Parts: sequence; structure tokens; C-alpha cells
Amino acid sequence: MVVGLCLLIFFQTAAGKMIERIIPFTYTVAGIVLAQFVIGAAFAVRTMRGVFDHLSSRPEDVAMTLGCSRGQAVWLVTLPAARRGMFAAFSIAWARSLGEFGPILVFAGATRMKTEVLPTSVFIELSVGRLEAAVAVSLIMVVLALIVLIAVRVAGEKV
Amino acid sequence: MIHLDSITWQTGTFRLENINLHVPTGQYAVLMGRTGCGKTTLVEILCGLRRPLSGRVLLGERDVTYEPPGSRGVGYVPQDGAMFPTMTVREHLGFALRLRRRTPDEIARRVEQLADELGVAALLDRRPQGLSGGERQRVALGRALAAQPKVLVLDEPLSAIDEELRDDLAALLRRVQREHHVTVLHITHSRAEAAQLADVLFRLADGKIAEQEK
Repeated sequence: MVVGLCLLIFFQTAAGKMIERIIPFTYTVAGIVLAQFVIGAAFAVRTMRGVFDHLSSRPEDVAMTLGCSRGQAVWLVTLPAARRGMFAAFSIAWARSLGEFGPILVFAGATRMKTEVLPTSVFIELSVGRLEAAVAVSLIMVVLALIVLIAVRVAGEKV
Repeated sequence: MIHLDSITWQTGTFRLENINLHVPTGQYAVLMGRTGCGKTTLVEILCGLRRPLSGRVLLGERDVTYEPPGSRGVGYVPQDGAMFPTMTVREHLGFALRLRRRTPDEIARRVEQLADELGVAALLDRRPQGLSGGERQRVALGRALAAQPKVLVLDEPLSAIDEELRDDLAALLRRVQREHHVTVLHITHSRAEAAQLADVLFRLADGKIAEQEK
């Protein structure tokens, strides 16, 4: 919720209004993406930091003595070594964004068939007393979560 | 020739001051010293991975103090091999040549030649996870030699190797140094290794380097 509120406030500032003239974010689909990105990025950055902290800097040093610039050493040696961790980080961030509710409700609203995402659908259905519909949407989310879990597991072993 | 001229370096309370080291061309030099005395720091200064506070690094007649690591012509083999985990042995051996944009034929020929010389021809399609400690060091040595450096820096290359294999690898290092005509600086804290390999022997203690009798 706080993130949503922060985004809402930011887009009322001069800088925010200027951005909105080019791409409107508040109460739009782009706003959903932005809110999900802000939340997801925080998780991805934390996970990726753990990944890079566990990598030795020595291979990168060796690559530099072999003729790489620092950028090339990162691109050719460090990033490929971190690919499993990065894949896990992006998956966790995506899964976290999928279930995000508060910031989207505050920043993008929950207008039917416009800025509606699965978690806000559950909220809307519950608020109008349609328990069956809320349960159905929740089940879709459970199935999606399972698919993501299996995909991460399978792909994680292959990456 | 390797020449460290009045090198000073400091981090926190640890300080190396006025370090001088001279290894004549084509010699196998061994630098000994206790763990934590600054041997690896000197290696990193020589390779260009750290910049000294003052002093000069000369390779041959060339002052390389401010040159980036890749243009110094130094082959570096760290203690654990520091393999690239996603690359095969073949890709390791061809890495420096790919960076120099050599043709695929030229790279393949050089990789084959190095693999035969170092006894890793049967391992070319393996990744580092499938290699033993000795095999890793051989591959790391081949990777460092691929671009034909004038200077080879070996940072405790035998410390993670079984005793049985150590003599074989030491003999290989000696052979490679002679055949490739490289000037070698080998870091170790093993007296046996030093006695076996050194043409010139240095000891680093209390922030100073002294040349010693073998």
C-alpha cells in the first residue's frame, strides 16, 4: 500500500506530471506494470545481491589478465556464472508481483476489465458477495503458482 | 625480466613499503613468505589488478605501472585455478585468443597444441566441475599460456594438489617454463617446492623482500 501511495504522490509532482504527459501511469495498465516492477525489483535486487556476494572475484581478475576490460570480464565470465541465481531472482520477483495487491489497488485502481489483476479480482468479488467467483480466481492463482514453481524447478536445473 | 621498483602499497594497517624485486629474463623465481605477508598483493600489483601507492612495475624494458592487466603480457595462475564455471576446457584454452580475434582455425590449432602439451586433450569438452585439482591447474596454466605471455605468475599453484601429483605438476611447470621461454614468478610457502623449482629464491617478511641462497 505504501509503495502505491508513494507512486501516487510522485506522479503528482512536477517530474511525475512530465512523465505522465508521455506515458500515463496513474489508474492505467502501465501503472499496474510499474507498481509490480517497483515491488518485484526490490526482491530481485536482494536475491541477486546474495548471488553476486557468493561469487569469487578471482575468475574476473584472471579474465582481465587475459585481455578483457572490466566490462567484458563481467559480461563473459561473471554474468554467465550468475545465470542460475539471476533466473531464480527474476522468477521470485515475477511470482511476488503476480500476487501483489495493495500498491496496484492504490496506484492503478481496480476497475473491472481495465485495471483488474487477479488479486484485485478476488477483492472485488468478495466485496460484492460473490464467494464462488472469488474462490475460482483464487484457484487460478494457486494453479499459476504451482506452474511457476515447477517451471522454476525444471528450468533452474537446466539453466 | 620482472622488476618491481620501490613499490609501496597500503590497506588499513597493513603496509608494504619500498619493495624491490628483480627477476632476470628466463629465470624461474620463487617468492616465499608466511600466509598474510603480502605475497598475493605483490602478485596482483604485478598483474595490474591493484595499483601501488608509489613505485614502478617493469616487464622487460617496459614500464607497465599504469597499463591495464590485459596489455601487460602476464599469464596469471591463481591458487584455486579460478576457472570460469560455464566454460569447457576447450573454451578456457581458447579464451585469450578469442579476445584477440584470432581465426577459429588458429584457435583450434593452439588449443590442441596446449592440450597435448599439458595432458588435458581428453578433457577438452568437460567443464571445471568435472575436473580434479591437478587437472584444473593444468587447464589454468594452459589458459594463461595461450596468448604466449613473456611472464608467468603462479600464485601457490601446487597448494591444493595431492602430494602424489605435486611432483608431476612441478616437473610440468619446469618444462613449460623452459619450452615457452617465460620468466616465472612462483609464490609458495613450501620450502620443498622452492628447492625443487627455483633458479632464484626470494623471501618476503616484515614488509621487505630479501634474495636468499637456494
